[in-house]
Amino acid sequence: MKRFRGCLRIALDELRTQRHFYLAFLLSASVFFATLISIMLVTVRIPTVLDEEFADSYINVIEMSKIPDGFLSTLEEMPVKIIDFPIMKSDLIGIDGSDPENRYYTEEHPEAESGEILTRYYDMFGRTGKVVEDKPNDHITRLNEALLIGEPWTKEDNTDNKIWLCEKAAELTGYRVGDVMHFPGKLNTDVTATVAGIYKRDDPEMNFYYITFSIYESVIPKMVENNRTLIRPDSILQHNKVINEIKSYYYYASSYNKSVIDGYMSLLFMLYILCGFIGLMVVGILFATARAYFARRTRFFSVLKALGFRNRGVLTVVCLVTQGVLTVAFLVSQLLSPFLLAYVSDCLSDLYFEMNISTNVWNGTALCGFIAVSALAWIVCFMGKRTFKTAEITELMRSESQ
Amino acid sequence: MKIIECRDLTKEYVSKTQSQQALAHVSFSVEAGEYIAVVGKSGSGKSTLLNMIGLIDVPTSGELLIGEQNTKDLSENRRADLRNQKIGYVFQAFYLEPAYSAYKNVEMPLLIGGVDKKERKERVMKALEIVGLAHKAKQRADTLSGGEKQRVCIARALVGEPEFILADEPCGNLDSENSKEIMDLFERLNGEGKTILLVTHNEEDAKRAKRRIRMLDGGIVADETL
Repeated sequence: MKRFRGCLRIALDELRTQRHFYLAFLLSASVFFATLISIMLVTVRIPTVLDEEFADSYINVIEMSKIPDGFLSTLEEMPVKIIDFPIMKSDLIGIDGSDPENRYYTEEHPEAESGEILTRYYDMFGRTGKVVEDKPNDHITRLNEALLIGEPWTKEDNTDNKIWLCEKAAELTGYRVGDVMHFPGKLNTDVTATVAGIYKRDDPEMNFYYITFSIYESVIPKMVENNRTLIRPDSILQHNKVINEIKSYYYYASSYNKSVIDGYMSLLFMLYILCGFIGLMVVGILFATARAYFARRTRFFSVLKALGFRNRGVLTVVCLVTQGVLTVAFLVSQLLSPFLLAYVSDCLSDLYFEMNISTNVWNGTALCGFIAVSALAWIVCFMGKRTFKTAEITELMRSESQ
Repeated sequence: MKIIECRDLTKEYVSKTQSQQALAHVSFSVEAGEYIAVVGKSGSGKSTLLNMIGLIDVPTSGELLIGEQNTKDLSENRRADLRNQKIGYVFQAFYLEPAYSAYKNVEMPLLIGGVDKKERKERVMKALEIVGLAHKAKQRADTLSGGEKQRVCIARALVGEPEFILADEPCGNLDSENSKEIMDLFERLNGEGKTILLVTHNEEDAKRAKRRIRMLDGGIVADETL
């Protein structure tokens, strides 16, 4: 122990007197540490993000399944009079009908006629459809698609501001049939809508609310339009919890969740690979640094050995000096990491990885990174053990006499 | 009491093309309190002999006893411990660490030996006082004069309270005035009971020792006690 303390003292003196030599290494090590810590923090965050993303989904499904059938009210009428107008034309609202990629809107749609079948989608609104066996139901599917994008309304038939909520949206917002909702409309006007009904939402393809055309017209362009998803007034978007719940329900029930998980898993895999490369880089840097330090200080160690220093002592001093530099580099990296982490977070956000990473880097993950790198430093120094034995005063004397 | 005994020491340097005998069957012993000068021309093997006795080089054959300890089969660690505890070495080229203070340089053998801080301080200051450099303890080694550097080197050799001091051409890099000071210091240390083995090619310096061992071509040609 006393010998170790002696080595520690020598190492501290070395750090003090050789600090200029270590400056470049210190800076690069700090940047490297900051990078490592940032990547590690992103890596450990991913499982949590996935949990947060999908935990709610599972809960929703369970919650929804617990709602008694008779608990929710049903609609008295359909949101649209689908039998009274031609369903699809090429000039759909907000959709580029000429888009050749958009197969839903470029094809000619058959008109729905009065008395035709109502599919399971319309059952959700409290109407039971009557299937006409000798009619193909292709146009019904199209009809539903048209409904989802808000097309089926006609100005004439939808003058009242009405909204139909899915049962989950109603539960979360607390709205009941007959309640009045407020929407910010065009030119900051206040648009009101009466909750006309609440429907069961068993099918993930269904939207979480429907509105009449008059609301749609009032709030454009503030509405968010999404392919195959019904328009969403801003005020609804303000109900973050609702949106999240609906989204997660939708994502869980559709194949989207799989793509999200796959995306995160790819990111995780990439980060692991990156960590591996950084690890290799660290080994190289540490090895080179330890060697460079020893080469620079061979004379010093030769004299120490002539004064009675053991080979193990030389090794210990090299390890302690490297450790000392790493420790200072780690502390410096604590200042750099938040900036780097914020940047990485931004970049990931641009790639649709909303990870909401805290820039507080003084935590267990950073400490684990530091311990891992320190352990690596000691292992790498031990790898140079043979080299450190070559410091001999006789060699020094011989080379100097020549 | 014998503190060093060389028995038929031989050192041979072998390369691919030739072999050279630097030390040829050297035998002699050193009693405690002696002041010995090993003299000879360059290449006579005197420094090689000193390196053998200082345990920083290994003889090809023969035996070397430090006290009663035969060093022949000692491990590297044990040899290092003996160097630290029983031998004080003064180098011609000083081998001080230029960025360290005089104090730090002298402190080194004690740090290596794991001596406590308080004791280290006492012993370092005492050694620096002996060589007359206590007032320059905090001064960086590279700012000291040649004579002062050698005195720091001697203080470093003394601080571990070794059984004997080996000095390899201690005045080789010094002017006459500083050389005299260093030789005076060695004489004084010997007067205080220190055993000193000095290697020099300077006859004047050698004359100040009480015993002279003359070497030629790796062998001892004369061993005179004055």
